[in-house]
Amino acid sequence: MFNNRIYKIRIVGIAIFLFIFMFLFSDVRAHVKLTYLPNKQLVKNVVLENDHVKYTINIDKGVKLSSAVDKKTNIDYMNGNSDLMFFSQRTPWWLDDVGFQLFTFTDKEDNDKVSVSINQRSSYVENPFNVTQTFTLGNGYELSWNVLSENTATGGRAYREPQTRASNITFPVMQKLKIGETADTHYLLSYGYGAFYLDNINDFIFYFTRDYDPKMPIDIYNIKENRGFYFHIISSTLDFNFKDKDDFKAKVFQVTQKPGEKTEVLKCRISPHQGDWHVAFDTFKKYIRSNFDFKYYKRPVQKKYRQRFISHFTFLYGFDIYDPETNRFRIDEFLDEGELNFGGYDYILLWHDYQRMGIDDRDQFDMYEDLPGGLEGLREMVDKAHARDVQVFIPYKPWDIMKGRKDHFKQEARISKAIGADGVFLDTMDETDKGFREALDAVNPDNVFVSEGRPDLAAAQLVTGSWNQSGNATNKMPNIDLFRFVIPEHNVHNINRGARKRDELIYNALFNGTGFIVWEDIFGEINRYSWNERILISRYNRIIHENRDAYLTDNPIPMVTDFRDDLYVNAFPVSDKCVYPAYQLDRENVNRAADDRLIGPFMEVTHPKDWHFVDVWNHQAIPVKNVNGKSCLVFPEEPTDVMSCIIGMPINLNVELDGNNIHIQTNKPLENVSIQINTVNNLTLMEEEVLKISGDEGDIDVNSLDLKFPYKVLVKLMQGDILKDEVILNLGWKKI
Amino acid sequence: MYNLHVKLISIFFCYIIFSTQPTSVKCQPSAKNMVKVPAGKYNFLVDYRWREGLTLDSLLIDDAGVHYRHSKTVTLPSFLIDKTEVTNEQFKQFSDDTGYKPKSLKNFLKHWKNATYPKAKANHPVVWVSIDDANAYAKWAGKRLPTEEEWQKAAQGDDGRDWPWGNIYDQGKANMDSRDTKPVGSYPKGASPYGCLDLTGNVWEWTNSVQTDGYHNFCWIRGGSYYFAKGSRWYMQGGPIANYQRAKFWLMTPALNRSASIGFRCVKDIE
Repeated sequence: MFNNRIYKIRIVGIAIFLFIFMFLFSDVRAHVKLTYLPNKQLVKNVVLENDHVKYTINIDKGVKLSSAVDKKTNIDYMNGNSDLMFFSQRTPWWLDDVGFQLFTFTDKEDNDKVSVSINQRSSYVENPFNVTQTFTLGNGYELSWNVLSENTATGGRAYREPQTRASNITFPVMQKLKIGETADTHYLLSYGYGAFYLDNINDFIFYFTRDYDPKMPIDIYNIKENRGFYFHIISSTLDFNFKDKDDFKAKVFQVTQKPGEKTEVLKCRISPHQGDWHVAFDTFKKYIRSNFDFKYYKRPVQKKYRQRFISHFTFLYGFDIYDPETNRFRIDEFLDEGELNFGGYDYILLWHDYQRMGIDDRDQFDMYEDLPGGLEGLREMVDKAHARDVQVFIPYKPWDIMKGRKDHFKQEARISKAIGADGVFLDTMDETDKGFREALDAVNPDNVFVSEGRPDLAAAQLVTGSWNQSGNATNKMPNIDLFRFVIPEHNVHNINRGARKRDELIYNALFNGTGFIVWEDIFGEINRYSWNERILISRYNRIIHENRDAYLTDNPIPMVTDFRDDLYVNAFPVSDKCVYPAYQLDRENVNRAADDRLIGPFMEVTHPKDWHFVDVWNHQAIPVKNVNGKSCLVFPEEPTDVMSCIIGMPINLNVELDGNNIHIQTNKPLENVSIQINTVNNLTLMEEEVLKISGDEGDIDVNSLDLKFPYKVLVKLMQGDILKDEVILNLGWKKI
Repeated sequence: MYNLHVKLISIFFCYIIFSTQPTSVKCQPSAKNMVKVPAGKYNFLVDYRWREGLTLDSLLIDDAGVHYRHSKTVTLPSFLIDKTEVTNEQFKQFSDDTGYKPKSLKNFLKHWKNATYPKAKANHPVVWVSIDDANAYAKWAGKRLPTEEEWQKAAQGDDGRDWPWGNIYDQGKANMDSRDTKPVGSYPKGASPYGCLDLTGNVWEWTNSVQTDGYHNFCWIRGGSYYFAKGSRWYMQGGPIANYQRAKFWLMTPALNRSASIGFRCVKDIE
């Protein structure tokens, strides 16, 4: 039966809970408010505010931003500026620039946000643009700002009919905004073609996907004052690309509207912020990711594929893979040679058809059957590759339409299933069809798509890996592959088949944490990699694999702040490691006798105190030094190369050198660990694996290591094949 | 006495001179269907469009686009060349005589059934033969495959014409864009200056040009074929192929090298 007492206790309990809940969380929801000052009838200012920020919009012959106050710090981000017009649209004729604006206001208010639409036009009939600007504030800092313009021209002057009107548009609030001293103000801008830059495009660029995909916000920030303002343009009919910051400040946009034509000039979000352009990047990343479907990135097969960095484009007609004497594919020898020359491959792409296809009516699918051993032979080859943990991809040619087959997807799926392929390379494509995915899933779901072209964001939802053939963009350091930082789940592979020099392409892969494709046999045309490039690739290969736990972080940070103008550093942090690939621009111009050399403190870090750092590219320990109360990384010597790769990790190895005995212990037990003793080949800077000790402690006699000058011994704590700690013993020639 | 000497010397020289004339060729039965190409110098010029992977020649970029050109003066002795491509019937005779069986059988005479060709195709060029198969036939016939230079001389004569029949392309003079091969000699008006037939079209022809670049084996095939893959510029070029054009053919497994569109004809040195 119903128990009254228990019921009452429950009611009281729930009431107390609700009270506590409301008490605790009532402050979380910002109070959003819209105010007209002094009142709606005599309005001079419109104020939109919440608990974080207060925007004051001045209504005086224009709609102007008067102040933007961060309530936490009480800083007005408009300090130093007069009130700045949000938007100006005029006909080019100078006499039109007279008259005053007529305004009407429409507002909307609810719990979560307030919104005001301000409609304006000139009283002067020849300036016929009816402009509506809508401002919306929610719980955060961002103010949404939309601009709609209509040409309301009637017959005027000598014209009897309404006229199409051209107009000049500017955005003074963006273009005239000052943040502190001009010398310390910097600009994040779009160049077009999916490229972005800071101040000057000649230093470096961020390259993204396509120009029609969303752009990074425009950000104006001041380094010294550590604050800025971003303008995140969601959509616009205007061309928001700029040659440089002066072009940005002076640009007059142009638009032509037919009579009655409404133009959605701008959909934008603006916000003041502390810090530099990274805030704008974070906003951009969040925006892109919130509109991106990660369904195909969550599949286990993608997790496996994501750890594949280095691949080989395998033209099956070459002697490296095909032995004409025995009429077979020499897969084991080929993979051995790959290990020797490039540090090994994670996957290979078999290329069997182009340029032969078209000689007769055998299409791409028929041609597989005629390879040595047919599909069974290929299956054997794939099995052998799999036994060495090398994946095998097969190509798909959408252009192969000679037979008029309607079942291309099924045919490719059939071949994929028959030979056990791990992925399909989409030749000449930058997108594909869901039907293709479904056809593959029906028979062989454990494979992925990798496209030759750079997919746009919509296509990248299905195509989970792609080639990066951005040409000069990838070949020049320190350019940043922004796509890699926004959707790090996507597997990018650097390749520039025609390049005659690839060192910067290799650096680019290490710098951005992207994959790299070895391709020396371009359909029969040989473009050999130099000995030096082979070494660079082998070194990159080892580093990116041993540190993939961090390289594959979901939160890579492009261009972290450092102390030097010529040093560019990315960061790939996870909880127990951080990779900092660093590149010095124009090092050859640094005077060796001057203080400009890359020696000493170069970057502040905030990692726990028990972390230490090593440059695994140049094999030198990177000490941490306290400078003015800040923990700073220090180059004790100028790095050997323009590239460095600094790994931060918690100290776990305890390595002591006692005479000729190296005593190794670990401080903290880890599962599945081993200690690897590698030495450094002084000719190549490659690591030579000398000794492996299973477990987490041991003693080694230095004399057993067969050391060569300059006697660098790397003591590495490995968990599986992941680096957990490294100590560099620089034994020095004098000590031996 | 002097007259006798003169006579003897004259007889001797006559013997020397006449013994090198074609009339003294030891003709095999198959030489009946061959034509003679006279000795001489000519300009061997090949010129073809650029495509990724085609190398070895000089790459040119000019008003005509990106293309390769290779030119040299060659001097060839007189030789005999098959008037037509080797037919299925002829190849069967070879096969029956020798019991020839290539090491790798896949796609060997793929269009034959029960060790013989379809009846209607007796006089069609034999296809689905690798260059090794072609060489085996030629050896049996007491001949060999033509070099590229020989093939081109047979096609263009001394005047460097673009097509065997002249400089004007004429689709009525070769089988260049159809669904299948045709009996050899179907286009008598397409004859070359020396009377060779079907040098353009019908089937590509193997030439004695197998070589290696150190990384692959390849050979040059000539003449084009009936087959013309359409729909993409990335297909190997099909259809009409002029006398001065060549196709680089990367060799791999025989099954892939054999094709429905590649046959051959032979040449014979004049002894």
